[in-house]
Amino acid sequence: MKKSVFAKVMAIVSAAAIMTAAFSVAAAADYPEDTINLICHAAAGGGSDAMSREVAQLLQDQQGWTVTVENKTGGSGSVAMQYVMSMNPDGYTIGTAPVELSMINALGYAEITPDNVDLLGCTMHWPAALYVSADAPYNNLKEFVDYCTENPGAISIANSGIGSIWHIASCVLADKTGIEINYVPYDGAQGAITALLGKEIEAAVVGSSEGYTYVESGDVKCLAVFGEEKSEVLPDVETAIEQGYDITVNCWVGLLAPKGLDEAVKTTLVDAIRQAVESDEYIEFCKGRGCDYSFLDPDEFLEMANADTEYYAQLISELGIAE
Amino acid sequence: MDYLSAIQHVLNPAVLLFILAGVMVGLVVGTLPGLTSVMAVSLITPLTFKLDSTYGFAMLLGVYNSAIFSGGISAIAINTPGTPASIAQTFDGYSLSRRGRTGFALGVNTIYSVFGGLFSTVCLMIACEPLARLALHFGSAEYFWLAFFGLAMMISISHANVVKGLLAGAIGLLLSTVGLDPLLGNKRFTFDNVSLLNGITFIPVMIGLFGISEMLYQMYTHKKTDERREEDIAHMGDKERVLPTAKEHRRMTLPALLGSIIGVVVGVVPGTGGDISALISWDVTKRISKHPEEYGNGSIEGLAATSASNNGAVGGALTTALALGIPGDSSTAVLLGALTMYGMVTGPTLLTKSADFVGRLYIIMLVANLIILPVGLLTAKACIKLLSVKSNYIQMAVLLICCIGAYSMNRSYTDVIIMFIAGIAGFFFRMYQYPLGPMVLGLLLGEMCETNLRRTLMLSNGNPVRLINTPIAIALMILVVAALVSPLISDLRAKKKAK
Amino acid sequence: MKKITGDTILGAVFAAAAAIMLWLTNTTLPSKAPMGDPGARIFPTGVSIAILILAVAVIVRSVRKPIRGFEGVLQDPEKKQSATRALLVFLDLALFLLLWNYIPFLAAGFIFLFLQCMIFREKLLFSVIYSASVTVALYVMFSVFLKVRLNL
Repeated sequence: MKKSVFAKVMAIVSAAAIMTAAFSVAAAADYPEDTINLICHAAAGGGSDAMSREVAQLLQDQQGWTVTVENKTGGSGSVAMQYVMSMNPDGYTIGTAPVELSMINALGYAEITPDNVDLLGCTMHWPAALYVSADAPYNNLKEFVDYCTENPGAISIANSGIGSIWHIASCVLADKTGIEINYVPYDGAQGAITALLGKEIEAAVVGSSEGYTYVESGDVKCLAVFGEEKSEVLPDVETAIEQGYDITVNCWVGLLAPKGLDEAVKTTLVDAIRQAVESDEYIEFCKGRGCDYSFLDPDEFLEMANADTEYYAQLISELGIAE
Repeated sequence: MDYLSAIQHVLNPAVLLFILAGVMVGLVVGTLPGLTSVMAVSLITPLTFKLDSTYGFAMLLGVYNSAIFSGGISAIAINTPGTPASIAQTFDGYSLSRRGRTGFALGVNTIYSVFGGLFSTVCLMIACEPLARLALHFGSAEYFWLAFFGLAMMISISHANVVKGLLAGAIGLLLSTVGLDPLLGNKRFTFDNVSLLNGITFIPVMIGLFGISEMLYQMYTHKKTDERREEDIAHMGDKERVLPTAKEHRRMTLPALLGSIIGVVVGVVPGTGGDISALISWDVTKRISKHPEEYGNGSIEGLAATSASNNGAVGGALTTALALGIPGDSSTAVLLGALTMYGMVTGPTLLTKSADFVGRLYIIMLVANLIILPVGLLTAKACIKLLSVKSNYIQMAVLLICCIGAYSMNRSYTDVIIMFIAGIAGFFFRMYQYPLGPMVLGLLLGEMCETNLRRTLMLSNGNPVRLINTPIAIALMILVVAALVSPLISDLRAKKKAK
Repeated sequence: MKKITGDTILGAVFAAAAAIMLWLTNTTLPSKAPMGDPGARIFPTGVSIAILILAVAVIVRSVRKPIRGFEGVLQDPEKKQSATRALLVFLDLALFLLLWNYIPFLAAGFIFLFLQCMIFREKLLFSVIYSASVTVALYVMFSVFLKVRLNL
């Protein structure tokens, strides 16, 4: 008697298990049947917001999916990422993965690391660059470093906010060259550039894409780009590596999903995103913004994010930011 | 610049239709509290990419101008600013509305919003580059004084009860310190709540403080309101009147002109926009007015100045955006993003490289404002009809709209809770005669004041002289001192007279 | 001995809140700051002290010349009715915010408006039509046109 009850229960359980599995396979095959929500960590108007809307539009045009973008700002992206992480990993809620993903844990804002999420791919990245006034006495990174060494503490560098990627970039600059500088946080990269244009401050470290137009107009000059290779928008500026300093800092934005995404759904999503990002329209979009557009697949992305997380955690604790 | 061909380009039926469509969208979004022009512009932006750039920008600029104008509609009709730029319009607009002159107040809002919009567009056309360079003279010290000047207005907003006004203002300032410290990055009063890291969001507080508490307070004082309304209707023969008379226009022209100028200047400065400019205009025109006692009590001059000023800031913000590629506010940031989508490089080179397109933008700005005029006046007529239904029906719906508005701003339930708490607080404030304006002012300007003061000191290694070592900073400091001292002097005079 | 009024209590609440914030500021925030920066504590400290002083001034005034807030509402039947209704609407609002988390917006919004109609003693048929039409209109406007998902 007892045995048969047990057998019945087992039968029901296994049937249920098979059904669930079947359902999930079916779900994956039909994915997506519904609207996909893309949660953007940045406020409307910024580069990340524009990227999300561009990708959403391309997914709509190329795949016929309906993708809506929602902005959830706050806590250097942690509000949006926490929200995405709390959602069902069914592929209907995805989010942007800002570079802050590799920093907010170290900054103590929230417990989020690249391993807590399923990364879908990196869609956009651009290097940091060192900008100074056009009439400054130094013309390349070496002269700048020499000047700073001779006048320790005389140079203040504007960045886009405490704990932001460009703040970290200026810390990396000081770390790798051994110079002594003051970090002055401004309200976003625009604020930093405006202060440099108004000659309130001697230098600014922001993204290549955020300052190159002022180089063209002759208001500022760029001493070095902190990328692996020369930036397309600043073709005459040598990278820090070319000038003999081992400095690379990139800001990146990608897409992520809650941890535990079904493999089939993930493949569908990643392929669709890859197709969107590799389209001519998207490349045009990135060029217009002065950004690079190579697509990184989830594994490459995770590797880069984890490497950054490790390095920034070390820097942040050494510098004592946000204690 | 070749304006003739630009005019030819813009004055074709398709472009006009797109401007009209934009104006209508802006009208809806601007009127609903919580839905800002930023949201409207960014929602429309992807849709416009399939269009020709002129068509796209016809729509976007229509939305932008109209959303700022229509924020005033809800400020006047239900005492809830539709966008932060309309906060100052509640001071006089709503009082007028309470006296049964809703239509008239909406008419003034329309006419002088258009006035401010046109004025700022003309400034943009003749002096884009030099005006934008002016913005670069605004460093941290100047921002600090500007914010301080705004804060000094707490006194004049709360003339009836200065102590309670200052107390409310200080509470606003304290609330503005919640969130990550802007210079050191550590958490202040966040109680480990991730949603509070970026501080207490302004718009939900505004909606709660004005909208929710106003509706509850109206219900609480229900009977009295009805009597007053009936009385008003009996006395006011011109309830249906929308257009001001020539005499009223004469009173309003100077304040509106001053408001527009302040709007343009404040708009040009990055990071400050229609909200601050309208507040400052209200204060400044009050000081020079022959009837300062009417201010805050249904002054048509105050309403005209604030209406003109927030739309004046639109042109100002575009100035810096077009000439330097620095967005004056978040809406212009989206617009700049849209420009890059059309393959234009924003930044100092835009004015020369894309001169044709910029010329078209100017004409679109002018036309958009001209289209707002009839649309706004017709809306005013419609609003009178709508508001003449039983007040309960409006109050109930407004409560619901406030909740949705606070939520949709950032899709955040925390914001809704903040709105709810602010609503309760606002109710008690009203009950015990604490003025609400100063609190909003404190929350709006607190961070700007603190950050820039500390940043200036950081830049000078702690030397306070840096705060006053440019002409603009000194000028602003004198204004601040004047604003703080003048109420004392007029107080003394009044006392002498009384003796 | 005068009766304690709501005005005094509100002043005391602000004073107490300021005192708590002052304590929080000086226990949870770091005192050190980089060169020149006066630090994270200075601003909240200054503002809290200002609130304390102003709140004391308000308390003193309220004792001398009290403002009538809720006092006397219950004696006047007309005022009492309005006050009760406002309180009920407030509770309805709180209920709506709670329900919104669990049930779809269309249902929660309808209940919210319908209960309000009941509070104001509207006719049943009108209440249903009004609540349904306003909720649906808002839902369509936000969800469809403005792309705001209203179901939490």
